[in-house]
Amino acid sequence: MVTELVDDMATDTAVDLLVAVHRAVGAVEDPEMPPVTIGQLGMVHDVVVDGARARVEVIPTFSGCPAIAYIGADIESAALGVDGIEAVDVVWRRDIGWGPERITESGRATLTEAGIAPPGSGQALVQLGRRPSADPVADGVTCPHCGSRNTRDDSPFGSAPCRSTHSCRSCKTPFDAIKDF
Amino acid sequence: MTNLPRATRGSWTAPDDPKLALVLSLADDELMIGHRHSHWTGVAPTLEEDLAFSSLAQDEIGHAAIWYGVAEELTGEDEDTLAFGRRPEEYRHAVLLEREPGDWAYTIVRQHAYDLYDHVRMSVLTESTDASINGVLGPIMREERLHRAHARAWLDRVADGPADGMERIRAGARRVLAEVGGLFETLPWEEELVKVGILPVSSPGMFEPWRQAMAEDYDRFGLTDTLDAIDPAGGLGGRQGTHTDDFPPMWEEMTALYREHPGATW
Repeated sequence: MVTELVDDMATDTAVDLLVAVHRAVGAVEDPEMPPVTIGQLGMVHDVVVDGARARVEVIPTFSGCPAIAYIGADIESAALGVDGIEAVDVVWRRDIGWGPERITESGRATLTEAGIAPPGSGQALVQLGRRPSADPVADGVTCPHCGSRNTRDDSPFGSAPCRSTHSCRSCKTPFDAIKDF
Repeated sequence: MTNLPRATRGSWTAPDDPKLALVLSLADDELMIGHRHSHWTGVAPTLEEDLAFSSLAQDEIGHAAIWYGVAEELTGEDEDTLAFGRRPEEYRHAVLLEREPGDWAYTIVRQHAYDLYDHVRMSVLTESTDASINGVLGPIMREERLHRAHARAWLDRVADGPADGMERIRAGARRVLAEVGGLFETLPWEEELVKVGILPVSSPGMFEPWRQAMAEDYDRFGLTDTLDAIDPAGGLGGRQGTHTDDFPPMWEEMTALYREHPGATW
């Protein structure tokens, strides 16, 4: 009986540590879209804690994303900031494709607040001037600032590989959207 | 080219290995087209295309890194050594991809023709018996949809525009299509790869599916007559390491930092 109790305590501690690492890593901000976090973007694939060593598996949004090195370093320091973690391995999974469907509900809200249209705002695969639409005035990507759909697609390639650029005819504001692909 | 640094770091030579030759041909193709795309950063005709080609270049170089990662598992050499540590005659990319960017028309036509080819090749490789090859295709194929959409949108737009644009596209297409044969050149030891299913369709076997995809698109663009310029015997040599005069200056530039500053990081 005593042995079982001790085992349970050990298990509880391990679970607490795992949750703490998961939380710390998930809170790392994307350097190209603060305050959106990598947890909200659905980039954290798996966290394993073995003793004082954490292994964090992450999915890059785009394979050539230049922010990968920065994000990796931020993940390492976030995990090392958790009491009980002394070593961190960051593993980039290149066999898993990221997609906008991985973004969480809270991530969608934070993106909108940051002025970036989340996925499902009316994005089309080909956003280059000739959107196949019967009513271009009411069929654009929803503006994250005023909610209008009277918007124009400017370019399918924006300031980061995962973003396209648009502008709103209603509130006259340019904005980015997460690409649907 | 006299002010370029001399080679200060020894070069690495790939061992004779059929699977490694295939993986390096994939990696080298993506690295070279990515490098050539990056030429447009800052000088593209519009700001949007400046961003577009910067993104396309990032994606292609990212894909090259994935394939060099597969080669790393086979050789134990790191990505930088594989990408920048070989002599020019050891690279296995098709010569079409090392050609200077030329004008905008040549660039768009080459991007379109190569990305259709890359799609055929990756569709073939999804059937590969080798898990290290078919396992990395998912993210690459997902991103490549955007590349094909980009090239098609431009060619569609030119097709609707004034005659001058179409003439430039035709001139670019004649140059590109004269050298596409090199994409379908047989790799060293390829027979072995086909036999065991690592490469389910031979390189020359990918020509016909590509030609059909080209014909479908060119018909829509109003460029069907230009397809006559396709030369299956043109642009050969790259898969065996024989390159054009355009490659040595490109190689010197892209490997200069690696050769001159061993261990450099940033």
